[in-house]
Amino acid sequence: MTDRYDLVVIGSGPAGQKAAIQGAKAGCRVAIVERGAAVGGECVQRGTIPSKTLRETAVALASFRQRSGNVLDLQMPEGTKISSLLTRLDEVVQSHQRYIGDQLRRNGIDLIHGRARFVSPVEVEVQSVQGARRRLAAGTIVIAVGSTPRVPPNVPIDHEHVLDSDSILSLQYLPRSLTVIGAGVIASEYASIFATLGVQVTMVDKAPRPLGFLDPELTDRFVAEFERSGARYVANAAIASVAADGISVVTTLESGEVLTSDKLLCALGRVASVDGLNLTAAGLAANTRGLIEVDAHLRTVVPHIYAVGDVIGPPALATSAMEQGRRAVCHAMGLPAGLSGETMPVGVYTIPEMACVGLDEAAARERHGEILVGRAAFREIARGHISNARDGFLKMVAAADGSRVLGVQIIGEGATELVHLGQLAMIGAQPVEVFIENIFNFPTLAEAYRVAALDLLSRRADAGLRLRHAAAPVEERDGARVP
Amino acid sequence: MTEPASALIPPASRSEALPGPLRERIAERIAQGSLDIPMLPQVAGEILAQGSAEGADVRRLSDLLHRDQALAGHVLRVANSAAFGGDVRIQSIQQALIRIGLVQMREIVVTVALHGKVFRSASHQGLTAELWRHATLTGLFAKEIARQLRANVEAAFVCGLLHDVGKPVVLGLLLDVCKETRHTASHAACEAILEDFHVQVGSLLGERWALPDDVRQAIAHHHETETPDGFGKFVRMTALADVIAYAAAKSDEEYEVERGLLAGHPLFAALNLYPDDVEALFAKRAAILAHAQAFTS
Repeated sequence: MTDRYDLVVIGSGPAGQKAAIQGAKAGCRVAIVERGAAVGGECVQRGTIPSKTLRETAVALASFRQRSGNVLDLQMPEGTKISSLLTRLDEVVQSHQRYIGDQLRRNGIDLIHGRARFVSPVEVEVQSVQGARRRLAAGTIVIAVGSTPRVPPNVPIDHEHVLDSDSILSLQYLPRSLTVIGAGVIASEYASIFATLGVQVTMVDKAPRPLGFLDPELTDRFVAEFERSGARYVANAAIASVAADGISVVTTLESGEVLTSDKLLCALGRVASVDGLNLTAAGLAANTRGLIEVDAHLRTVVPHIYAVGDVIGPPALATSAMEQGRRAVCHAMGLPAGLSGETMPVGVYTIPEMACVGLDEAAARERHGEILVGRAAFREIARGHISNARDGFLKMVAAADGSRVLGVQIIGEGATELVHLGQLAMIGAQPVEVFIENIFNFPTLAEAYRVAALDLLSRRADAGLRLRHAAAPVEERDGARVP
Repeated sequence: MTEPASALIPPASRSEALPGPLRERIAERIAQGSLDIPMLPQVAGEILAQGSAEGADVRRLSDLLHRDQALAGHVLRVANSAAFGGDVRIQSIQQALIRIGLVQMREIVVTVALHGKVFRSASHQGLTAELWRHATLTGLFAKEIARQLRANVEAAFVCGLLHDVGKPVVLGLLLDVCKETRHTASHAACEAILEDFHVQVGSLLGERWALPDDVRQAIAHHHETETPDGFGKFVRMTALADVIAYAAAKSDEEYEVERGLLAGHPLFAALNLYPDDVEALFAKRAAILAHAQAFTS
């Protein structure tokens, strides 16, 4: 017995949800298959939502210290129960799951609990947790199965002493010390969260600086802040071995340096969760990086099968995954999806947080040659002083004539919200003056846009003066006009 | 008002029950609160040998703590006492070692070994070994289940190790009562009395020793598998580890039969473990038995 649908979505994470809802809105009969006990995927269960909840506690602590001008210093007692730091977690996760579930039900989507595998290009078999099997057939299938943490061969992850990003939040007490292997988004976020909570954190990676895809000015500031909190970033370092002795974890670097810590977090990337999908039955195969390849419309080599989210690789963010889910189904149903979001912002929830949109300075110079860069340090902004958030800054990159914003990079609390102003200016193709000729609330951190714009335009003016100066006759330059 | 001891006596769960007066006397002792976990003599001996050795190895000490439910229980009690506890509840043996430090931990375990009660019953050595083995196996299976679920492995182990912590206490009481009354209890009668009283006694002990909440929940509810959804993850993991540990300890032939029956256990679905996850868990039996053997030999 096979149940027939217009659209079957495998996975109920951010990408899957949006794909399913878009399908339902388009009038399709939709089923969404989820292997977990609840909807939301890793994002809700073990990823974005819980980690951001823990971060919220850490930020509250840090900002309490900061905003009190360090008059009061809050220290986490050694061994604090992490669950006490995540007090709101269950509530947050459950309400999020309830919201997603209600939304799916409201849209008439069938939620099927089980694991899906292809049996043909148009059919999947779903195995329930008790082992019962049923088949679903669909004209369009969207693969949104997400990813799992990568397990490097030389790191013995036991989820007890050596953890990955799936098990790090199972910790029941704050360790005294934590080694973090990796320097990507997950590694940097957790490293800075735990450091803020008072854990002695050492982050190790082969890269000269963490988060290599961001503007080095931001990451240098991040490392400085990170190390100021008592943590350490060990750059250009490779891991020789990791061993847990039952009490502590000993990490030996190829340089010979030995790091000993209570726990270790391995965050060396993620791999697409394609095992068990039986892709060959669908006429698909993962590429050499274990990802499913798609075209500009998120379509695989099998035209009615789409893949979205982490399973297709970078940027592998919840934000992009949602948009991909929506766009894939729009394409499948022949609906307009709107302009492709080239101005997608990136938010990194480190402490302090970082965000960017568009091109950074190096990429802009490479693409456009002459450009203008304006900066605003939060210490120049009244709100920065009031909140004692003086270490942040905003950097704006614009075309050489200031006619449009090419990119914005921000570090500091509120960066992930602030970045949207820059994004909208870019979407609207606004000139830099838009930040000067319009009124912002005072005191706000958004004022940094005005300061950066003024800085940028003063550079344009200086450059213009220099150009005019260079072009003027000698006598004019000497300040005396010769008749 | 104290309940009469007879009110504490559960109905005998086995056909071969202890004589009524003996059961009543055990119930009286429980009501009086004479609860103590006897230790295994070999563990006590090894601790004393380790404790007196200069520079005792922290790893060895950790192994000892992981293999004796009495010692682990005592250590958690002391670690959570006012003298050491502070504001933070100790959840696991590793955390206790980290918090208290090796030197003080050695002092605690030596004190426990010197002053604690030690089993000295040649007639019930088999039952004693069974209890310890089952506790260790349950702890180790609970660890593996936790690993699969990405739940806390340390806490799962402690829940598994201590889930039947009431049994050695009841056995100790039973041996005392038998000694006083010069009664010899059969193996079956002992098992029956342990089965009848262990949850109640374990819960009392958990409360008195301020054991972690997850452990207390696991002690109190690990037999209530009919409504697995009603309990937290640690209760379910412990309950599942408990049934798997019983099956795993049987002969290979019996285990194969049990394994087939176990596969459909509602706890697997309650924990969202799929058939291949279940198989992966069963596949760990040999390694866990070997590990337990090393722990308990």
